[in-house]
Amino acid sequence: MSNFLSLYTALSGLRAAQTGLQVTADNVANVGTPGRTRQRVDLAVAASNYLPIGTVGGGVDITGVTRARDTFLDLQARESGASLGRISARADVLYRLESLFVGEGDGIAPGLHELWGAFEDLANDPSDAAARTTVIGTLDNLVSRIRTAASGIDMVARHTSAEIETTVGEVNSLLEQLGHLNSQIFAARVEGATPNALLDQRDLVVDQLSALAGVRASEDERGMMRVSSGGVTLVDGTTVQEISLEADGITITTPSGMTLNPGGSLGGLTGALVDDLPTHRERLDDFVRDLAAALNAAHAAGFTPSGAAGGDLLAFDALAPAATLATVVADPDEIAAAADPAAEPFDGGNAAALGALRFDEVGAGGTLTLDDQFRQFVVTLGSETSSALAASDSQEALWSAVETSRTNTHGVSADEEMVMLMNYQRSYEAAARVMTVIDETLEVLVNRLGVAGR
Amino acid sequence: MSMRISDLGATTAALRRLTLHMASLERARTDLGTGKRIRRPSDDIGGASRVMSLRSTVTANQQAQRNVDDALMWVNLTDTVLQDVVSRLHRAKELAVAGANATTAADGIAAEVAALRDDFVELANTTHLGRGLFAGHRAGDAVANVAGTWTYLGDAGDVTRRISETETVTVNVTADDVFGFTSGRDLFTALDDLEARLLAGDTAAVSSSIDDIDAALDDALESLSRLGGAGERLDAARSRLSGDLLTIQENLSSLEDVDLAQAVVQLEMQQAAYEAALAALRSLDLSTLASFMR
Repeated sequence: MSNFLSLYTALSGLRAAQTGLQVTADNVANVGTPGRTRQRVDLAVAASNYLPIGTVGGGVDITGVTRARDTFLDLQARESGASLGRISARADVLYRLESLFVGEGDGIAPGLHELWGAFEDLANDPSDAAARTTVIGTLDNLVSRIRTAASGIDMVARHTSAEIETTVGEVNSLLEQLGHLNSQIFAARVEGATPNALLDQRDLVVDQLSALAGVRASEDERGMMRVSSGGVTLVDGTTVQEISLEADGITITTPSGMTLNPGGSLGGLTGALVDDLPTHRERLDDFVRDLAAALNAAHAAGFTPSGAAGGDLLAFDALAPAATLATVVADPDEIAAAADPAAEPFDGGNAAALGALRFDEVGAGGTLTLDDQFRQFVVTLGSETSSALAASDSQEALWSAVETSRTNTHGVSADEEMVMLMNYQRSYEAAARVMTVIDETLEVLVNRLGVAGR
Repeated sequence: MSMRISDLGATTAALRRLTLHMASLERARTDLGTGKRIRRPSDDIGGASRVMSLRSTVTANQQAQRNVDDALMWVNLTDTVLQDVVSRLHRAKELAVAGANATTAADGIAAEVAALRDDFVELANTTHLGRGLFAGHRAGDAVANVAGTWTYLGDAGDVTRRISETETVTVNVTADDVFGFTSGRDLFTALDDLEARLLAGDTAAVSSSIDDIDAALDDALESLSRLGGAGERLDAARSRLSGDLLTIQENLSSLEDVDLAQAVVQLEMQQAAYEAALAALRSLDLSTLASFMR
């Protein structure tokens, strides 16, 4: 057998150890990099050398450097991240909506109480001009608080729309990146390379896409990531379907005209905009309709100091009651405090009736007092917010557990790398020693042979 | 399954635990700092709902107390005037009795009767905050001599005050009732007659005036007792309302206010948990195999 052959065998050991050290160095350098998958040198027994006397091993082959990636964990983490995105985006919107009504509905409930009080004070002293002015003042106050709340709801809706628009932009940029990475990865693979860094990047992009739009992702037969959302393909190989937001601010479509029903944050945001905000706005509008109807009806039953029947106290545009609510009476003498037109100025019978509306079940189709109707509105909003926040918290805990176990499986452990470092160092030293020994035997063969007896 | 831990996984998990502890700590701090347990409806739905409903009750209660105070002012004022009316009626009766037994013309007594009648007119027209106490809902004088006839100018309007959700109290009496217009023989005409009879020295007729005054006394006393009844209801309502308010406010406070002792303990516990999490994070930083290799 040839001594030179053994040199090559030792060399393969040196190379393997060297590559191992290189990969270890790379792993250690990326110990804190998010999305980094630890890499391993795959080694295999090299083809044996067939000699006349038998076979002798031919050293070690480096078959590749691979990522220690568990795709099942990826799938779990992405599904969980998509749910978290959807649930927490909706909870955020509800939380912002609820913020408009903290502290007793931010003044609307106390505003109602002040109004009832003002009516009763007027009933106690119907000829008092100040009491009449106070009634108008408290009405104005209540109206302005309701309108502030209504415009607050509009503002939350506008912010949510803006967020949807931004998210659509982010999703598109990620889809673009994904198409790009697909083509780079494909090109690298064609050349026989293992583009581990690109694969890590691509996994991160898919993670983000899942959280934002709840996409499904799977690798196709060419090793390219195919991404779809609700059956609509968004990325196929290097072909990217950019999504766009229609003019209504809610519908999301693809260039091929398909309507997207996204999950993730995008789904949470559109859901809140389509379902939650209109529902609560409608409840506030209902309250405003009942309030105005009850006050106007009771007021119409009375008489002003000039003997005229009471006109409307409140008015609104039927399209948006809460946002357009306005006080109609401006002159204190338009308040109809008297129940008997002949008995002015000291009859406060109608003012008392207006004040007694406090106890009358005139709201929600005659089932609740107005105080209670508004309280129901706040409580319903509060309980939906509270359950959305709780769901978001528990989903966060779930996601975090999956994410931690994924990071633990995929991430670099410094201790492990230290062990690998020792391992490769020893291998290198040993292979080098083998080489030295072979070199020395060759030295004997080349220089010392044939000089016996000299 | 043997658990593999990566450095990034360990630090991320530790950081997350730290954040959670910090959030709890912040919540405990805010509880103690604001003194309020419910800061927004979602903090405690049931509690927030009860708080709002109790607040409605509180404002209704406070308004009822205002109404009661206002009503008591009316009742007390009216009561004072009526006491005046009654004592003057007694004087009128004395004068009538003296006149009935007089042997000479009673010019002096007649003059005093005329003065008393003017007093009664003035008492009947007493005003409170610009409105006649005895005129019902009408403005202006309750009683006047219109073209030689004493007339009640007010109406039968009740002045009422709400003292609870369902109860109202009538706090006024009208000159119509007090001065006998409703019973057909008013005090003012009776006194006019008495004055004329005294001047004429018609002792028999003067004696019949005594009955008129007795009837007027009955009317006035009846009005007084009606007012007294209203006053009693108002006093009872007032003590009930303030008692209720106290109970509701205790309820409110127990619902929305933080139990201080409990909040302090909670804060201490959260602080300790936070510090423990910090200590855990520090130990994470110290130990790696690299420190033991040479």
